[in-house]
Amino acid sequence: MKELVETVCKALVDMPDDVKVTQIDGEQTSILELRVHQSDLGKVIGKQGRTARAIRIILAAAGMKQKRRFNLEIIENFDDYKAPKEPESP
Amino acid sequence: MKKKEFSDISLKDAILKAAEEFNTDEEKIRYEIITEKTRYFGHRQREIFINAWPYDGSEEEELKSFLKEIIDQMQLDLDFEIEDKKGFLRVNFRGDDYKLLLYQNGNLLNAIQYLLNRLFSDTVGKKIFCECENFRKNRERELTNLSHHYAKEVQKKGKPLSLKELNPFERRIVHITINKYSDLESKSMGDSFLKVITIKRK
Repeated sequence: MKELVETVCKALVDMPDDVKVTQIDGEQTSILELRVHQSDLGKVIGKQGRTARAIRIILAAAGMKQKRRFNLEIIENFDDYKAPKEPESP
Repeated sequence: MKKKEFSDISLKDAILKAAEEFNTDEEKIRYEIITEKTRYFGHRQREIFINAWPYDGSEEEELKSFLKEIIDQMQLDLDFEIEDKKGFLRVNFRGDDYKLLLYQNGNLLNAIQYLLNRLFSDTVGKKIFCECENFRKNRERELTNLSHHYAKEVQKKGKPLSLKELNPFERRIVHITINKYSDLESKSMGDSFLKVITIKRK
């Protein structure tokens, strides 16, 4: 299933070399962690998460055939992320 | 694929110019219109700017190989063929696993269609429609029947009625059928991707 997410994301993204998928298998479910370049995050997620939803639907259908659940996690890089300051409560 | 800008008085002349530049027939040129201008200096003249590129079917091959790869990796028993229609490309699926495609109102079919459009509709220059076992045709008929039924109910009782959550394509069909009734109006409610349509008297 890893390859499936990779091919779809590599087609979507500007920098295909930075697409990395790791699979963590559980008893009935597997978690797929997707990492892409910071600037490509929007392309993988899409408007209102539409692209991400489409990928998840495709994964779910593939999982139905194999009798296995797949969770797709899109992982953000929080290294350069600065949280917005919270307004001080009066 | 290289895009280039051309401009001329009319669209046809601009396409001819592009065809000459790329050494192909004018039928093989795909284009998008950038702007249209009307100039008033001297005599009145129109000018049109287009972005043109040659098209030789290689994008369609790309689409085919991408789709094949996906279906292989999903391990589904599906086969498809591509028809080149005038305004759009139609991808027709068939095979043993068509039920999975149509599961939950064609969820997977819509997802694949959306992905294909995002990836290829720019380069092919056409919209892509996915079809499987006449699903879209049947769905359209079903929805028109349903909305006619609801419309009559509203006319009789005067109370507003609402349909289930529908996607944009399906909502369009309902709106079109309700528009034929002069005393009814239809409205989409909600702000997510799927919205609920309510039919009521004006």
